[in-house]
Amino acid sequence: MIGESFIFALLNVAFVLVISPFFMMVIKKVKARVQGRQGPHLLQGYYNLAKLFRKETLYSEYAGCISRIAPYAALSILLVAAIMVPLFWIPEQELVTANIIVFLYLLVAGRLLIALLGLDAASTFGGMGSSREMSLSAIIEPVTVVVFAALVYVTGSFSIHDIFRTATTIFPAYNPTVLLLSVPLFILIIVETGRVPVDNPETHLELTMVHEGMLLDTSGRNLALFELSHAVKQTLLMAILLNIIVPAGIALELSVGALILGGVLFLLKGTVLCVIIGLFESAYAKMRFFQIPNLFMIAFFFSILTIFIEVML
Amino acid sequence: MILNDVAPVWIRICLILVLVSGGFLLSSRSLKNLVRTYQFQSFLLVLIALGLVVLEEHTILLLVAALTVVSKVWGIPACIRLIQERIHIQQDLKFSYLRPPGALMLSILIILLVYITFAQILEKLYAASSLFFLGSVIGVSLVLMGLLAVCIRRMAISKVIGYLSMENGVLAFGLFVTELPFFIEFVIVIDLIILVLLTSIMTVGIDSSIEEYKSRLEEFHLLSEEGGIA
Amino acid sequence: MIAVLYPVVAMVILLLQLLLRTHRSLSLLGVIHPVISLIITLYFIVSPGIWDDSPFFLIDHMSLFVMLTTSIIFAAAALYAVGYIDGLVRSGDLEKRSLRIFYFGFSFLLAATTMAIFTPNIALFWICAELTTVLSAVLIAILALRATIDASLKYIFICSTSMLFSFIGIIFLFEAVRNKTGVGSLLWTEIVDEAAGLDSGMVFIAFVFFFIGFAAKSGIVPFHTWLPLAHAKAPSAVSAVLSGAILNIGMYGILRMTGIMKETGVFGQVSVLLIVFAMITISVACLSMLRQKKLKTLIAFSSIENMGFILLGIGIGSPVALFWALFHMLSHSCIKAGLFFSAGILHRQYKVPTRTGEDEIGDLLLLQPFAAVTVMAGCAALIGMPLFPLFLSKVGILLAAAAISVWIPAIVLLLFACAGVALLRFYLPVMAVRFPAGEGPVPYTAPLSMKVPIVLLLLLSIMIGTVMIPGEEAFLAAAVADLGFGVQL
Repeated sequence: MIGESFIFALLNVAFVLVISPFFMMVIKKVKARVQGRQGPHLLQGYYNLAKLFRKETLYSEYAGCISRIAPYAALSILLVAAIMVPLFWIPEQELVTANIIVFLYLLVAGRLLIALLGLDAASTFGGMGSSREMSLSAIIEPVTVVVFAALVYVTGSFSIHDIFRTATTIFPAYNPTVLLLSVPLFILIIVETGRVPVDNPETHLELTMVHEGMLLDTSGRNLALFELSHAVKQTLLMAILLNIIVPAGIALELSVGALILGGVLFLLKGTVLCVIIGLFESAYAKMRFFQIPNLFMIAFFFSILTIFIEVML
Repeated sequence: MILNDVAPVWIRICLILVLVSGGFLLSSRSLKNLVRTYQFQSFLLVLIALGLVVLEEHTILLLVAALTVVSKVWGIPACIRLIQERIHIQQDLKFSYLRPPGALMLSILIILLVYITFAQILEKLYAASSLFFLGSVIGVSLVLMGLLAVCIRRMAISKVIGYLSMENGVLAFGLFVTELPFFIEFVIVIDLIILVLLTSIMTVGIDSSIEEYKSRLEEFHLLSEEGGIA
Repeated sequence: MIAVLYPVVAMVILLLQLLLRTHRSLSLLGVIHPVISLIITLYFIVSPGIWDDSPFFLIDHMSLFVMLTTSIIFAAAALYAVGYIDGLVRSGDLEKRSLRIFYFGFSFLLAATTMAIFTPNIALFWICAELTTVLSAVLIAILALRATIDASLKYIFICSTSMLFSFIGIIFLFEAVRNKTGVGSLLWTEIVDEAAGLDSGMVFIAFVFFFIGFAAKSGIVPFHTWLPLAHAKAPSAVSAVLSGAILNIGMYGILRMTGIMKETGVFGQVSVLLIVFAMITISVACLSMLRQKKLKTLIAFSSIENMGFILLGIGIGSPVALFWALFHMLSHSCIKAGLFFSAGILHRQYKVPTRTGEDEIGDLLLLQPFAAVTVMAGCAALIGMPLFPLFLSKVGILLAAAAISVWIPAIVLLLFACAGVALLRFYLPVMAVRFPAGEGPVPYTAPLSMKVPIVLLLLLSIMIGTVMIPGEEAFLAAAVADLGFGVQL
């Protein structure tokens, strides 16, 4: 039991860490191709991280302890969250207590750390980024809660493990509510990872940057850690969407063959989803800051509708 | 029969997608998307009608489906696209009273309200899961959402689409009262086509000065040379 | 099967209007059509023996009565249009090529109205009523000005969207009947017969939805916003038809529907609903009249007020009140059409609305003595002077209302006073305006065809206001009985 838990946690976390930079690069590549550029090599993410880890870490002269702790704390918080979300193997019993509300709180905690970091360096851009991030998250948080509430309502459990288990038993096309849920979950990925209609991850433009603004003062190893935790967050959210909509192929018992199959399939499904995200990003222009609630409202509408329909049918 | 088991689920999924399309009609800003959504919505109604044919074996619904395909999936959208090309407007950004987020919020309330009201009034007669009940709730909700779209949109052409979506709501409801005589659906469609044509012509007029309007009318061959309608 | 004459005549007239080319023949056809309809209707009324149970026509006292009103108004309007439209074409306001659309639309509107009144099927009634909306929208927009197109679009959107709700109501009614008898029905007469045992919840939903649409059609607050705009911007001949005939279609629907409700368990709620809407309508209309500065808008608001009053009569639901509501409908149509005709003459004289948007009327009695007098008479009739029929119906309905609550007649009388003040406040200052010497417009001589209908309508209304035409009382009482209300008077 304990041994299995250990294997599960180790496999899951290692897998997340390994594939996350790859997914980031897939999206970048798709966007570049749409814009008519060659785009980075698919493994460029790993090279970047390796380069950053070797570089010197500089701190602002006003920086306090938060700047020193936050990078490690953020990544470890997300790794704890990563234990909760089974990617390619759902054990028989719930090995780790994976309450979805705890998962949400972990995500928010990561967010809070980064916002504090933006303030800590005492630069104007950092403060601006933090304030934007916090106002956005104040609006998105209720929507997130409702989306997950709908998820919980549909599957009848608070545990991510059970939710995934239930998802493997229902054929999604047969259950309209699951289909409906995919829309708000997708929007959630876009918003939480700061993608195009909400934020542009590739720009350091003073007018629009949100996430990058907060990280402007970090460098070297710290920056690498933040990039990694950002990638991990994206992979986790993608895993929730994927394992609910297309759970096919996910390993249900511990055997080498099933695990390899599950891992490869997850990689494939993830790549496809990344391509979709990349295309979605290319299709939309960055929204004005005050129009972003529109997007949230669509997610909200869909999740409420899901709950209604679950009640009505 | 497998078909008989699949049909109710099929109908339910379509009904829900109909509601979703209603939400899109409220929030979309591009005129092209509006027409496309309307087209999709009408197509869903066709699917529902086909599902009902399997379930209740009213072949008359096949006729309704065929009529819907011809008029709403193909005819009316084509007509609206033609108008859109003429007025050279791609986006509808003007809203009055409410902006799309508020409208979506309100439509959630509308659906809830309709559900509660109908559940109370109709509970004696129908099981809460009966298709008639579901059809009435979703049909009336769609009508109200269409009404909302008519109210908040400022451009006449998007108002027309809101109206059409309302009419789809009525049809969605009417489909479940299967004994309703067919000729009524037929005449309603005719009425709809006249209305769309008329409003489209006027819509062309509303965004232009009078001289331009008249020349545009001629473009559409609506005024023949020596007078009268062609 | 004489009723077949209605559609046959309509078809022939419409066909001829497509074939003939001259203006004169078009307008002549426009007059012939309503006059023949009027003759057929009168023939029906005097010979009850020939009403047969044709499956395609519902001929009873009620439908004949509404048809009588409609054809009188259409006949007068067509006669008026001969001179009026000619003037519009001469002055260049109306394109010559729009003429055929106008006359064709006008005749088609009469045909659609006729079908709406006589059809025995609720769904067909709905469709015909919807058709009248579309056709009158064409007539409103006939001048192709931005303002008229605007008004017309508003009319279409408000009426058509509300009418969709009515259709939902009809579906509910069908389903309610199907629940009781096993076979759904859409025939007025069958539903009245089956009304007694229908499920009250279903029927109430049906009524509420049905009411929304037809309330919008007859300009009941809060669905009235299109009415002042559409009636004021339309050419006067069209305004008269809209106000005198098309509004009645909405009322006709509500009347029949209330008749169905009479036997069901929800008549109490329906009655309260109607009275509340009626009171809101009368208040909003009368109070808005106070701040109107344009004659046609003022008259249009007065139409809303009168529709509200008829609705009050229906809501009270006693046979007496319904009797007077029908009487009010006929008299209001005659008077209102006459007023719009007179306003049309003033419109030709002063070219209102002017650029400032306000009426610039002056030297009224010198330039247009005829229109001045008829407007005055019309206003007096609207206020409810004795001699004119509105006096009788107002007294009748208010007395019936007192049986429910004394406050209803008290408040309504106060509001009527407001309406009277509004009419006077508009009319008296207008009479006093003098243009500086030499600056007034050239006098406009209205052709005879514009004056005759006004005089005829005024005479007709004075006649029904003073003399009881033999058989009139019995006929109206029978119409009330047709609706499903008791006959005791």
